[in-house]
This record gives sequence, structure tokens and C-alpha cells, in this order.
Amino acid sequence: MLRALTRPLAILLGGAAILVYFVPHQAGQWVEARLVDWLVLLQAAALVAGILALIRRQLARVRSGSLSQRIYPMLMLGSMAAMLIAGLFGTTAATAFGALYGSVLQPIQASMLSLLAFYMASAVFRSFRLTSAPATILLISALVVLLARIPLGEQMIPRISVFATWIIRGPNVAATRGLWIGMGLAAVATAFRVILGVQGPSGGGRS
Amino acid sequence: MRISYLGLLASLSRIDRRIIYLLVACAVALPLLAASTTRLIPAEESQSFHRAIAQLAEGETVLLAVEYNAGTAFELEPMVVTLVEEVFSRNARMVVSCFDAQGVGLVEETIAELAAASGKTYGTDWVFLGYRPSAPGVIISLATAPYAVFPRDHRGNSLSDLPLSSSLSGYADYQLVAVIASGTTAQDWVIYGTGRFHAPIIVGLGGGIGPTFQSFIDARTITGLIAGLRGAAEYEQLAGRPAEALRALSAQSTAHVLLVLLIVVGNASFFAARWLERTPY
Repeated sequence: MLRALTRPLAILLGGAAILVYFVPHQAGQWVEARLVDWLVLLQAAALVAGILALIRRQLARVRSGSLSQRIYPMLMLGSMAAMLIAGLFGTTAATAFGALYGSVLQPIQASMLSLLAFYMASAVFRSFRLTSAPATILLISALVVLLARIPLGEQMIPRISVFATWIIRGPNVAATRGLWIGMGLAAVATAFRVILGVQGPSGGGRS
Repeated sequence: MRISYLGLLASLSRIDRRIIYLLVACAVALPLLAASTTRLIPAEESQSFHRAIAQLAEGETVLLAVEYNAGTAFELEPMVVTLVEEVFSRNARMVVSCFDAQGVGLVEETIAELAAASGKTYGTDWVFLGYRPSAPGVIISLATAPYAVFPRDHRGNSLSDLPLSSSLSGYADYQLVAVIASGTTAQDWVIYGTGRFHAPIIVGLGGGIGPTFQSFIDARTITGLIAGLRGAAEYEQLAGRPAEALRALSAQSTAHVLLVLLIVVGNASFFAARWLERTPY
């Protein structure tokens, strides 16, 4: 029953969102304010739904997996519970939540991204090859931009920033502008498919 | 003899990845220990970014929209630090909003420390709105009905009770909107903030997505742009506040040179191996 309502709701609300965008009437602004409220609320609800789905999946892994397979789900669920309980008693820096955030979560996040530098260095050594003309153009462009972004590169090759600026302002802008326009057109096309009822809001087609 | 040199070069492709990891660690750590800084030639868009802040007058308000967490803080936090110091030094005021749920504590702590060091009062000189989901929804709400999405600030105060936020109505309240983001929030700001509500925006981005915003500078959709650690360092230099980004740039310099060397050696090794395969002896 509820699933059957998604398509008419998407048509109605999507149409309303487009109308109020182009009609700066007070009533339209009131409708838009309500729609935006719901947008924020729904995204918050989606966050909660995502967390619940994650907990369910991890609990299933704890129940069905072997001892070695249970360790990581248990660790994840334990960490989540610890942060949740700590958060109930305040979230400022002086609280247990603040200590967990600053001493555990922040170093983990920083370490995760730092590891990328090591993997990236290994990957460029093994995979970035001059095997074709497009790969050669990409490689030379990457080398020029990499060197131009650092003071050492400017010292080694004085005019390199001129070439790097040309690459960024010329071919890069041409490509990204096309990309933005393409993304915009695709978003409009998808939105119209939903609003006109050709496609369901969940992404499932009619035919 | 030539074959043996080529063989040596070809064998480099089988080098243990832990040696590469060690080289990366040394390339990053050693310059940081040396703590050297260099003079940069700032890009035009970095100068525009700095100019927008430098033109702020006493009592004017900036909306600072921040989106980063500990993982991306290394290149974005220096931008926030310099920007906040500059805004406070001009006795301008600041409303801060965070668009990354995991970065809220980090952002509030950083700005609170800077505000305390500048002798600024919470509620009068700066307000921290905190985090709400849905960046497009928040950006539209900040323009049309700020109190609907943020009835209270992150510390639980009613926004209408704080002197700075007691009469917010839209982007006309702000002289400038500064977006410092590691992800897609900056794109939402361009689409909704500038595209629809014509908010004057300057943007600080992670190095990876910086070049994709160059077209918005050329089209004058955004006023200023700094990208990556290089952009942060240029901004520090322009603001006359050399700090973390300028120091860290020397580490990025050696890391970039190492990457270039790895690409060159990797290709030389690849072609040497291929040549040896094709040579019958």
C-alpha cells in the first residue's frame, strides 16, 4: 500500500519543488520551506535507517560467523555502543565522548587517509605506464602539475607553472565544464522521469 | 654489460613494496623535522580569496561553512585557522556551520581556541550552528528560514537569544560566505548558494577536487579559490601568517618529487624488461 504511494508522491512533490522554484510567491515560499524541512528530516531518518541496517548486518555476522569472523563485527558494535553511551553524558571536549573522539576516532581517520600516500606511491610505480598515446598525455600532464604545485618543482624547472596553469585553465576546464553540464543534464533528465511518472523514485523503471 | 644494466633496471619492477613505503615515510618525515619554509608565487585565485577577506570591515559578518574531518584536516584546517584569525583580527564576526557529522568536534575545538586567543566572545563575535544532514536543504534554509533548521546552536542556546544570530534572515546578513570543504558540499554551495541566492562565495578545497572548480572561477561564479596544501600555504603567505601549511608544503614537495621519480623509474624498468623479453640473448 505504502509502496504504491511513492510514485504519486514523487510526482506531486517533485512538481511542487519545480513550481515554487520559478514562482516567487509567498505561498510558494511557504511550500518550499516545508519541503526543505522534510528534506532535512528525511535525510536524518535515512541516517538512522542506515545505522540500524548496519547493526542488523553486523549482528547477523556475529551470530553466523566463525570466531575469527566475529571479531571485527563485535569490535564495530562495541565501538558504536561505547560512543553512543558516552554521548549520552555530553559531547564537549571535556567529556568521555570528547576523549574518545579526540584520542581514538581522529587518529584512526587521519591514519586511514595517510595510508593512501603509501598505497598511491606503490601503485604509481607499478601501474602508471606509457603504453599508449592517451596514457602518455595523461602521464606528462600529471608530472607537470605535480611538479608545478611544489616550490621544489618551480626551482628545478622555472617556467613549469606556466605549463601547469595552461593545463588547468585549458584542457582541465574544458573537460570539467563538459562534465558539469553533462551531470546537470543527467540530473534534470532523471528528475523529469520521476516527476512524469516514467520512473519510480526508488530507481525502478516501469518497463 | 649493457644487458646487465638493463637487467638491473628491469629487476627494479619487482622491488619490495615495503621499500617504497619506507621511501615515502622518509620523504614526508625528514622535511618536517627540518622545518624549512619557502617563498611562493600565489595564484590569481588565491589572491582573490585573500582579497575578499581583507576587504571585510569591522562588524561585518562572515558565514563559514566547513566540511572536513580528521582524515582531510591536514590540508583544510590550516585554511580555516588562517581565515578565522584574519576575520577576528578585522573585528568582523562569524557564523559557523559544519557539514560533516564527524568533523563537528574538531571544527568547534579549533575555532573556540582561536576565538579565545583573539579575545572574542561566543554569541557576540561568533556562533557555531553545528551539523544538520542534507547540505542542499541546509543551504536553502539558511537563505530562507535559518531558524527552521537551526532553532538552537550546537551548544543548545536559542539562536534568537544570541546577539549575533538574533536577527538572521538570509544571505543578505553576510558580507561573505566562505566554504572550506573536502567533498561535494562546495558543489551544493555553487548550485544553491550562488546559483539561486547569489551569495558571494569564496571556496577552499582539498587538492584532489580543486581543479574541477577552476571553471567556476573563470565564469566568476565564485570569487576566490584555494586548493590543497599549496592553496593553504599561499593564503598563509598572503595573510602574513606563516603556519602549518607552509611548513607542511616542504614535506609535500619531497613526496611529489619522489612520486615523479617513482613514475620515471617504474617506466624505465617496464621498458627495460620489455626490451629484454624481445631480445633473443
